[in-house]
Amino acid sequence: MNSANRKTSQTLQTVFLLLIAIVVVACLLVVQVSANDGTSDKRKESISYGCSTIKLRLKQLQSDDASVRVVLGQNYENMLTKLMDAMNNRLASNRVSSGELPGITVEFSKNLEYFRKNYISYDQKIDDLRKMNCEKDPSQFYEQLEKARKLRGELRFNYDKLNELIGDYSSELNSVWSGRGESK
Amino acid sequence: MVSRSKKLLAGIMGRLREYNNLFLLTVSALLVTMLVLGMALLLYKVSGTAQLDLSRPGYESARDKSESVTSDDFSPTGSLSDSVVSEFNNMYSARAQKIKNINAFGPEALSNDAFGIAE
Repeated sequence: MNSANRKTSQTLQTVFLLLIAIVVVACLLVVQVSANDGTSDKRKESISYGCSTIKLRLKQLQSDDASVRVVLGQNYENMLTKLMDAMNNRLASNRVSSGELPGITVEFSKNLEYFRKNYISYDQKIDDLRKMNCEKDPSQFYEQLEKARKLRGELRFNYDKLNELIGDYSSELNSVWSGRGESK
Repeated sequence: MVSRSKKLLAGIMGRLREYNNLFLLTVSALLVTMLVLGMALLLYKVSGTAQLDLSRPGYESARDKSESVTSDDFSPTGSLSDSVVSEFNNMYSARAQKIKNINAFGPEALSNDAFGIAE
């Protein structure tokens, strides 16, 4: 009787484990299928047929972005070293309290470094996109394009943040200078 | 007969050893060159220099578009006065406006419309 009960419980355990395994495999298959269906047929078709045009536009975009990156980089570098740092030093040498100006300058420098690093990642993603065969694998191409959009969004965030810090520095300088005048 | 062939073999081995050293030297020099070149190219890519290098093929239009940025001239030493701060503010505002006018990295450039991709 006991051995019969033991056999029955073992059988039940095996069946239960098998059921769990089937459910897990079925879930994985569903996820796989839904991942493959992320890009609609119409979109895949437009990417396939327009592949060479898309590649040309990517090439042009990469060139335009490179030009923008160089000009922006030079302007930011100028802003940081020739203006912010110079004013901070001048305030210090005249023994004027600089308030939050050094902190804003450090924040600007940090965000500038993020911008530089993010641009490298973005440009490499565009390089990868250009090397892909969008005619044969439009789904994969679109997936990578979405990643490139996200990276470009991060660059835009860096650009907006740097602009915000430029504004903050100007406000703080005016506040520091007018505050110094009042304390006289 | 045996000693003559031994002598010949020794001579050949000696010659081979000389050429071997020269061959090894050449191969080593090439390997070291390739290694150093590989490291230089890797640094060029990874450091971000490649992204700033507009002399690369295919970037002719970028070279034409990029303007040389003039440097601001605000001395880090000297006295401070209202006029000095005002002069600084003018330089600063002009630079800030140039940066704002660039309006960089907007999302439209990578949109479906920009590439003619159906929604």
